[in-house]
Amino acid sequence: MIEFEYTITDKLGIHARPAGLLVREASKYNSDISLKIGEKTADAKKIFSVMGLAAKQGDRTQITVSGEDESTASEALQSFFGVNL
Amino acid sequence: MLNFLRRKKATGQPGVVLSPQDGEIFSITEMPDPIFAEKILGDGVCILPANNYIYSPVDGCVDNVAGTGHAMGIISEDGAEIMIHIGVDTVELKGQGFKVNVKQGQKIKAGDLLCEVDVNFIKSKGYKPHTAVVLTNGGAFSVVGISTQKVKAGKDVAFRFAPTGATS
Repeated sequence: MIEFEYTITDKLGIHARPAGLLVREASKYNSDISLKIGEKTADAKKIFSVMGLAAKQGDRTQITVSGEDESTASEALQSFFGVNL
Repeated sequence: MLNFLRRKKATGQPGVVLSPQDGEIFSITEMPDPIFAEKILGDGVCILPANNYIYSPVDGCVDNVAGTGHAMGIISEDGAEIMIHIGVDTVELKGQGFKVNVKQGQKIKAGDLLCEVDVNFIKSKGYKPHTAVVLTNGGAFSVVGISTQKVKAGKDVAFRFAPTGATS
């Protein structure tokens, strides 16, 4: 299991567009990928789950990646967050 | 008592997503926003709206509502996840022009008023008003037929869906 933190810098937060891109990215990997902000946890492969987080700029997000391809997936996701959020 | 909030006596039918808005309906590939047109969020339709009222397209439950009011997710009684996204890039309006009538977790019937959007206002701000209606759990269900015509909200079918892998 690999965990990392990312603070959302996008001023619009995780709205439909980045949420859709995130789900597409996360779905490339077999690992389970979750996002946690405060008390809310979301499955990064499910769009409704990610939208339900209503993540805003400045929110500290804990990303947990767990599975056989976790190191590749967490590297790709760190890069994804940096570029898109 | 709240019947005035309902447009018609619409009833949700299995596998049917009614149009949430009056207007002209097109394939989602016509949506002037690549995240929708490329079906990254899922298959569905877009609607060039004829008025400001958005009604529930199914019987189900409100799963999520964007804080800005321009997008919401609904889960139908038969398990389809349907996102309604109003306008293109309208997240940037930060709620201006949107009046949401439902809450997260609320049970809804097809034809219940979900949201009012001031179409002329969002156009005046330079945004396109197209409403996207997308089936977001495409792994479980597939869109099997979409309407391409003028539609009445809560009355005409926007699209139909079926369990993925089912023979049709």
